[in-house]
Amino acid sequence: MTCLVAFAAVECGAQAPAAPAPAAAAEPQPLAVAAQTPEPGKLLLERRPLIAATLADPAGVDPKTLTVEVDGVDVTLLVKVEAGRITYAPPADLAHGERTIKISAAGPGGVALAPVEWKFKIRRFAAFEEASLSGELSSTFEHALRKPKKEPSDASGVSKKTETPVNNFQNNLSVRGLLKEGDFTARLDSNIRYNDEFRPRARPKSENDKLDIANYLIGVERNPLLFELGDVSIQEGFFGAPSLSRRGMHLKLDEMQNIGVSLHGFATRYETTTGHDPFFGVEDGDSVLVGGALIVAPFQDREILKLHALNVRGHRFSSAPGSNVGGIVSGERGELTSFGTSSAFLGGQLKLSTEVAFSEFDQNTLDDIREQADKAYRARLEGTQGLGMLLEAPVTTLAAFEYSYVGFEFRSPANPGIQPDRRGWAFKDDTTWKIVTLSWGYSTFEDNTDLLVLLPRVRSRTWEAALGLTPAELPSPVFTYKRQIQRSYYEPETFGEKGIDNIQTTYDLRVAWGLGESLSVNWGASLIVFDDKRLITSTTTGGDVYTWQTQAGLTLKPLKTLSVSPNYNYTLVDEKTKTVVLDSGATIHDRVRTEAHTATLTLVQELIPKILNLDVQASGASSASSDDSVDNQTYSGVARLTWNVGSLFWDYGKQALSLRTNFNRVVDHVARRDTNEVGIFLILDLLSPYNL
Amino acid sequence: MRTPRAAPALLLAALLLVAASGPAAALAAFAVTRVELVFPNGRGEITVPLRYPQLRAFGMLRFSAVGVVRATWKVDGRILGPVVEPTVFNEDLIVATPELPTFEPGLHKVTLEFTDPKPAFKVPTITYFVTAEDYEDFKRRMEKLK
Repeated sequence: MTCLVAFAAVECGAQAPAAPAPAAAAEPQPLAVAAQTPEPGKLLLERRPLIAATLADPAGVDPKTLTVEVDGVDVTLLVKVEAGRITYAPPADLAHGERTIKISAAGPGGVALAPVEWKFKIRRFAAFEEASLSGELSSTFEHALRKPKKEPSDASGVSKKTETPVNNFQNNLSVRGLLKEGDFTARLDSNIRYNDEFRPRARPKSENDKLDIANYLIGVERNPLLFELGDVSIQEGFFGAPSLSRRGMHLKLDEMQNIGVSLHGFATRYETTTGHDPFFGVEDGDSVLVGGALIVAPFQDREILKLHALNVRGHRFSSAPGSNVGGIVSGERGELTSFGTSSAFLGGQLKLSTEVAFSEFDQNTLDDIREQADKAYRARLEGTQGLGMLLEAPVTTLAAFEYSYVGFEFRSPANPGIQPDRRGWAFKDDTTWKIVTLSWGYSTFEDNTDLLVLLPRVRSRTWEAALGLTPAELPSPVFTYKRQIQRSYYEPETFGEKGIDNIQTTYDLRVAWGLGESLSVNWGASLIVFDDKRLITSTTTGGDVYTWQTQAGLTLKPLKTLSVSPNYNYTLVDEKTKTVVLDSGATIHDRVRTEAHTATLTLVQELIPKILNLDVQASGASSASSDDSVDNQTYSGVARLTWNVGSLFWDYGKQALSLRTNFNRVVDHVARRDTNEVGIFLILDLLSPYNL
Repeated sequence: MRTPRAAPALLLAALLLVAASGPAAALAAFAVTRVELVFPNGRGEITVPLRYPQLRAFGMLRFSAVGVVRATWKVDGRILGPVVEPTVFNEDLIVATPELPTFEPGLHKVTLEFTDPKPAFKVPTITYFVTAEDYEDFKRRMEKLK
């Protein structure tokens, strides 16, 4: 029975609420309301909507205990209660976005009822449920009080472009936006950098691109479709495009859960990681990649089998050395088609994936050589298995096996990292028990498997094992052993007997120890033994090499405002039979030891928290060899004192003033050169937010 | 379709395996054949707020023979840390920088300077931009936007 009642008096003799059950004493009965206005989840344009609710059981409510909150603000004094209906008319505009209404009350006996709460949204614009645009302009103006290098003379031939500028103006505008209406969402995430440098004399301004980089990602989504334009990330297949982060666009249709089909089309281009590239478009000088993928899951359990087909076409799939990738195979035109499967069984405990890919490519479209074509394939099986209990703790193992073959003339226009003319397999297993992790693996690969007679065919095998312990509050050691064997099973005469055979063995021990937030320590040491199997003659260079290395570092926070992190590394390279040229010009084989010390220090000190900061980073390195071919020392550092002045200069955003000094010294005893540079800079940093 | 073994095929093998000269001379020599430097976003550039923690760059390196690579990570010309790692023939060696300094707003350049072996090509330089917005403020702003 439901009665509508006024809060002041019960009018219809409604049934008294039933006595709460003992179990319910811990969980209060909910306050029953009906006809909430605005309805829960409703989208409104009205900034001052009438907020109302009707009590379902007024007799069970003590009207004196009634409270109403809007976004946590108590508005009970402005609430009207008539005939069991609570109404509240906001006296001012409510904020855009999601608003929360909460009504609380207690029963007649003073027993608190569980409050009722609901939410609705107030739109900013009529067309969109949510809309926002915000920007942050970060600007740094740097003035050299003392430049670290003397300006080269006009006749020296040294470019002034390489010199430190007198003034440096660097800016980054970050813009983020969002539009949302129901299932439709559009997002913008972008950064635009503008750098300008000012130099004296012949070239008052830099000739570098001032707009350093503009990157952006615009995403439009309406389930099941996703379209992205800008700096996209594409992952399709292994030989195809396992991980592409490039400028471009892609469209995805994902109906995998409904009908077991997913479609993906993409078009990208290179040359976006550095340089000025604010627009999207296909230009002659750029490497272009266009492709599409289809994924079909034929069974109701989508994970049992997924079939994957991919086709990509590339144009000028090369990247110039020095852009972001140095030294890769290039091609004028290429195409790749691949087919693959992926399956997961036993709730994901066993996974199998396969892929076969066919490629065609033409290194030079203008010559008479036709396209080269070849294939590659790969299969991977991995599984997780519990091996039982040992001393009341489970032992689990994760094992993976992979076989791959890549043909001599296989080139993927979408994956320049694929190594052609290679076949082999690898196995890896990780077994964990309590604090112990044991990893081991074996791999064997054969390179130059084609019938090219000018190169030796190489078989490389690797054994690897690592044992790690992670005891609580104690040092965590990891010991690694690795043995790599390289042998040829065909050698051209020019390579001589055992021309490329060798064994490399690595022993490595690392220990890390965290002592709360104030101290963490790490130490490591390794020995790498290179055993050259060649017959070393007077005309051969090389021989056995032993490399010793140790490294130690710690992070210390003696005060809450001070952090110090020194690090030291020592390397000794012991070459047993190195070719040495004597002062007389004669060449002999001799044992040569080269030692290198590298030390770094990072210090962060908040002199006045949030206001005055001191940051120091310094490093030094020294290398010397027993044959006197190397003997140099390098010291460098930067120290920066930053005064966060808030809005001191003008009442907008944040400003900071900094004084920075750079130090760099290089002493080369072999070349008889000693370069000493010190620079001092005054810097103004500005942060200007723009929110719409 | 496979074409007969001819000069272009030989040239491709050379491109793969050779650092500077012909294939016969190069396979036995320890040489770097490929260098790719990236930030965690998979690109050669990234923008981070001031005092962003644990920013690192990664290098994917490939060599034409077995040996121990010795190199130095440098930021704006300063030494950040050494790299001493054994390599495997034709397999990628992935190395990471120590934590990159993010206490200076503005543009910073990261590169890997090789001591041994010396590359026959220009090693890439990648850049990161540190904004003047403090990381804690940035985190709060992002949470608010979400």
